[in-house]
Amino acid sequence: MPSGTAVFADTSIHIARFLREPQMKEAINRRLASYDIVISSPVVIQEFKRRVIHEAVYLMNLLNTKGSYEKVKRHVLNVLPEQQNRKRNICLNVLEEIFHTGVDDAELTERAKSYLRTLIKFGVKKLRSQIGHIVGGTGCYLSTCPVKEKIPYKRYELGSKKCSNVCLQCPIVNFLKEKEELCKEILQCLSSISNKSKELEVALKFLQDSLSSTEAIHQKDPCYTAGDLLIALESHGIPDFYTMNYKESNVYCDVLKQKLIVRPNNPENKEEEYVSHSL
Amino acid sequence: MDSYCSILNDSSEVIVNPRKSPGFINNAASQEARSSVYDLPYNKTGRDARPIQKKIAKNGFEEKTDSQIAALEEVNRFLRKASMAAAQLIEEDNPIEQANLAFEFKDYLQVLWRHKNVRENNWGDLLNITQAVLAQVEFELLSKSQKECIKTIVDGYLRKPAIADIDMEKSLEVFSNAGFDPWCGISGKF
Repeated sequence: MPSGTAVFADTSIHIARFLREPQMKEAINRRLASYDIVISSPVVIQEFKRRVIHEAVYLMNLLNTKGSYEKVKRHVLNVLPEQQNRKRNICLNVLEEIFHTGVDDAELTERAKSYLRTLIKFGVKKLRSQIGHIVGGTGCYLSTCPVKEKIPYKRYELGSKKCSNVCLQCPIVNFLKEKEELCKEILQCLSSISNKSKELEVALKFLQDSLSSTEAIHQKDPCYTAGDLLIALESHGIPDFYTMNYKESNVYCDVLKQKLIVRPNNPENKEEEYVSHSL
Repeated sequence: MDSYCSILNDSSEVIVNPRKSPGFINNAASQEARSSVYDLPYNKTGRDARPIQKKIAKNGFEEKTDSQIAALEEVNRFLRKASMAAAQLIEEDNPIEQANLAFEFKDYLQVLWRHKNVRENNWGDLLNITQAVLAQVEFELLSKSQKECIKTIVDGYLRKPAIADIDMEKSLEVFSNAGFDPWCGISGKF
């Protein structure tokens, strides 16, 4: 059994470690290297798949439809709502910078498709090998569904995004029963907060419903709607929690008695550490 | 069908030719000895004896056309050149010579990219990643482990007859372990 200092890295950290600029990757790797064990969970993997691999499939579809790297870049900028565009993780702009000499649009299109195929096919596997330790947690079934390549560079099956489609395979009910006491503590804490974010409101409602009855829990798509809460529950027992999202994590880390380490969006800014009030 | 060939000679004796040399095939065997029909087992002179439909090799893959064979030979030739350049790169300590070798290596990869469709999809994808990775490093500063990584990628993966999915996963690990970022081509800017 591995022993030593341990940190739980959430989805935002793993996505940044994969797809952000080199300075950001360096900063994250430096932080993670200061621990003996880096831990993550099934819901983190499921979120990575939902955010990154689905986006890669979207871009691949666009490249196939438009047939041009330049057109796809313009399309994404012009058609996607600004808020959605900011949330995007994959940056296609880099390809033209690194293959700048004598490379035409057709070649860039080919290269972009090639890269996206690699990400779609091997991204989740690479994430798993990169993490090292994955807790059992919710046992999220969706995180284990493999990406299937139907037609190379064209059609991929990623499996469902929602728990409600895989009720029979999803063991979340047992997980929530195991963590019932902890759920009550979080519920109590959330109830006492006056100015909650939308995500915390959803988590509160989810906890109220699941503690009263777990019968229709899958219909609420817990991984999809209350992902941060589930990740927090999965990380219980790990002393440090590493994330890029301060808002929700701050509340959960306080209840779970974890040290919160927040990686700012600007790689030049220093990370901030918050020790739980309960410690 | 257990067909046999028979030739009638002047004395009306039947000579059985068990080696199926050109002659007549009696179709009686499949028609309970009632057929008087004979087939010719050979083609007329000057015709291609091979069937007209698409040729499929024994292993199930399509037979390659002459231009594909030529392209594949060029791929193999440039893979050998790339391998030699990568080996020399490991031996080289002088940063200028090292960079020159790396530029040479990079050019070989560009030739290979032109022929990427000759090989399987994984091969083209790995080549693309290798080129992207090399495009983001200063050749003068390549470390020993990075040079060894380049050699491993060429000899251990790109030169393999076929790159399976498991090879792709391992090659991504090889890049990461040497300090390269295999996802640099689709990551944020510097």
